[in-house]
Amino acid sequence: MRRTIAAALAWACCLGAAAAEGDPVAVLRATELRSDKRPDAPPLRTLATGASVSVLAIEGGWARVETQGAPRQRGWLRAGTLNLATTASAASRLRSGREDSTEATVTLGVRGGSEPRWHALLVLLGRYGDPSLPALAGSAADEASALQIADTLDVAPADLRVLRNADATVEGMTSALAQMAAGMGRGDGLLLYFSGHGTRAPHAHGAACTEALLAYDGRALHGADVARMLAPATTHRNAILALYDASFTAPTARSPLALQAAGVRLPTDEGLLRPRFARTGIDCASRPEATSFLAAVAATAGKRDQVQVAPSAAGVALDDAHKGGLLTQFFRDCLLRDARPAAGPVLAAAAADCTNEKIAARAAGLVGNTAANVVLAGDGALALEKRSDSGQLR
Amino acid sequence: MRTVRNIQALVRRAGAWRQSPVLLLIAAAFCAWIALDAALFQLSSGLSRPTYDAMVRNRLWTPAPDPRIVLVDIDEASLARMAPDFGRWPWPRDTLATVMAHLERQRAAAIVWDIAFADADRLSPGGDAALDQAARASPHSVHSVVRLPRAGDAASQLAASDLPGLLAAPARGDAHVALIPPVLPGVAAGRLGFNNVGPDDDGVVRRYRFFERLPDGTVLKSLASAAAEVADPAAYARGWQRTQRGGSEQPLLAWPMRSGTLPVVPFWQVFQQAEGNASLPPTHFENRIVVVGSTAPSLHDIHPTPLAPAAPGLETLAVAIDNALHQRHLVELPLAVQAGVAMALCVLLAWRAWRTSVSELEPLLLPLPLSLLAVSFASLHTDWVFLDLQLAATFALALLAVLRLWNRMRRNHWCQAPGDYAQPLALWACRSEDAWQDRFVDGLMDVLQQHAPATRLILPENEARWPAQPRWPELVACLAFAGPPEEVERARASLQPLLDAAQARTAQPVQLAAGWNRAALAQLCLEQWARLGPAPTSPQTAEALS
Repeated sequence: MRRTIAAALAWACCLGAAAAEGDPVAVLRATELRSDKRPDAPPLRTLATGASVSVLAIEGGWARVETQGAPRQRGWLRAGTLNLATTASAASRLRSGREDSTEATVTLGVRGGSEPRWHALLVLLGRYGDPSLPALAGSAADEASALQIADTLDVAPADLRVLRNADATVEGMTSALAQMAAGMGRGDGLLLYFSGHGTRAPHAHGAACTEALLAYDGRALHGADVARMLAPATTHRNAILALYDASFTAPTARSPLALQAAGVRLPTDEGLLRPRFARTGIDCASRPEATSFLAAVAATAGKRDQVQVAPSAAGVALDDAHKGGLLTQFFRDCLLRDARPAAGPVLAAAAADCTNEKIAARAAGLVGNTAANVVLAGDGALALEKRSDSGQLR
Repeated sequence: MRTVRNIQALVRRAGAWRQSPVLLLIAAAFCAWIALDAALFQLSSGLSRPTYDAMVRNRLWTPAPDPRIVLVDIDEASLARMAPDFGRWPWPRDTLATVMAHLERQRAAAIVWDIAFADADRLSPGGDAALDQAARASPHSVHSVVRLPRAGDAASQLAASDLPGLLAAPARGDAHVALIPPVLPGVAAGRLGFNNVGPDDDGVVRRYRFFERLPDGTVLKSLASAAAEVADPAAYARGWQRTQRGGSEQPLLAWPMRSGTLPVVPFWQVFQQAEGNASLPPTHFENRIVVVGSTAPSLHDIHPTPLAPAAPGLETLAVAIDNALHQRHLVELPLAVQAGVAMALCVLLAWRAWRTSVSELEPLLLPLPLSLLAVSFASLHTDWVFLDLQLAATFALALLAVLRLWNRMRRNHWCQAPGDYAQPLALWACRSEDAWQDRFVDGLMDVLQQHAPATRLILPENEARWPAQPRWPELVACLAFAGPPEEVERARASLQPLLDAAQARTAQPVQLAAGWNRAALAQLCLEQWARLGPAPTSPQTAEALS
């Protein structure tokens, strides 16, 4: 059976390599299209990042390509600038003992390949498929903040995936996470960022309500679901930093009506604040509460170097129409500046504490505001820096 | 304090023990020590390894390395020159694809990649595609896999047959093997070899495993063997036959005279030539065995070897390729044989001491171990065997030192003044023609031990061996026996043949009455020796007297 699978993979590999030629592929970095396969050959034009070309041939380290769209032009560029897929060898797809290897061995030679790095999946929900669910005006600002966080972690464009609105269904998120996990190597890290509504919903018919994220299609993603989705990304001792900027708590009855509806402007505010919570139409008041969202994620995915950050069960995650979610903008500020020690990287726990203080100061006076608006589950000692540097720390 | 006194008393008494059982005991103890050391402790290897390294570094000549081998070195200069365009190492693999295609065009005999392509490059996937394509078009390229410890074989789903390019012989079974395979299909389908070395316990790389036999009989190739197979199939076949005949699994490498003797071309230079830079002097790789790897300290492919405490792994691989091409690696004596030689030597020395005298062996104290080391050193100048006699040399030195120590204790016992002043004492003086040789003194002690245990030798001056000189040349030929009168009289018949052999003149025994003292004894000795004639005239004595 294993032989059959290996043969099938080998066949798929050849097919993949053959399919690469002639198919349009994207240019990963802005580069010069040259008339010959030499660095000093006259440049024909500059191809921008994301430009699409057809690969006609590969010779040595150069690819002969034809640009897409008028005017079509043929020339050479370095193959390394192209997003050309190569299927992994059949042997490298089998368990080779490497996964469990703990004993040292001495080799000659050096390793040619990528160093550990962060990958990022950003899920941004500014609106929902169900028009009755309130839109979140701060989603655009969240995207900018999340990209800054990803940039701090040195996430390369090829390792970044953004799911916006209609793409952010349960299937879309599951599929994107599975694809990213397949591309992660040993020691890589994954930044999972979610900006949208939280909710409370039963996990199964007749079950207790639990905290959940709300996907574009109105389906609830419970902590156990997220843990399952993250599992493939944790098989190679990978790091996880998950930020959920969504509220699991509705404003209380004592909250200002404006907060529950159109939003509220506090004396210290710049933008209008709205809760990031939406009801699914199921009455959870009569149902007993079960495990919290973070506890459910951490119970199955929480290991060394894995951190989940979300609003607390008692806190209300707020969306600033101009600057995005408070958790997002303050976590970004803490990571970039306010929690940064004199030497060394920012640790996840320090960033979370700093975020907490900033939210508390910003939402002071708001009914429902608690001392612990943000909670961290998992390994607070995770260093939020380039993965290739983090080996020196632990 | 009491313990120390007890030990001192024991040492004094040990000098009175009979020689035969002591020699037997010493020989047996040494044999047991050698057996235990070889089988269990291997403490002597801590001495022998640095000695071996020193011998390797100081060889008088070595065969010239294969002139076809050339290193393409990703050195610090290459890292610095490539960084503006390609960033830090690891570079996108299209850079390596460029060089691979260039070397293939130049008709290199073999292109050996001392670089593991274990994981996909997600930042530059096009570089992977280019290298994959270049590897498919490069029949002379040889790539490396990393063999993981055998303990992981059970957890691996990878059978040796999954990487046919790694096999020295067709797979015989389905034994699984733990290793890190190449991620690129074009590389995985090519010629492969494992790129591991097995350092000794002290961390120094001295050996290389050219082939590895799996439990089912399948044999994997090392990177050096795979390179030899591509560059010179006939040489590879000879090496493979040698392995099949039961050669050592991890033989010692035959190192060149010194580190840094192989020709090196920086990677950046080859890369620029491959990219059409005509301003650089051309480097020709036709029929060369090109080994591409790194000596840059920042890439950490550095290991201690006998030649240098920090030698590039690239160079070690090149030496292994050279050895594989010329079957230069050294066969060692099995440890059991080394131990056997050491034991036989110890028994032989003890037997010789018993047959002649312990003093007879004293001149061998340094020459014998040095001679054994010289044989080992001489064998290093061959390119097929290392006769490791360091174990024998070490234990021979130790045995001779112990015998010498015991002989000193023995002489202390038999050459001290008799102590019973209350009894009358007989003094029998004699004078040789020259200094009393130690072997004669040993013989006299043997006779006293047998026939006159209460009698002692009075020997004012020992035999002096070069470069030492006698302190009192006037007394070197003088000797006397002092003991109970009846015992001395009884021993004379047994002592006389030895004295005759030494051409000694003897006086008639004289007596000291009971109540004698050491001063009276010394005076009587001098008087007796004076009566026996003039001072000796051997050249050494005459020189000392002058």
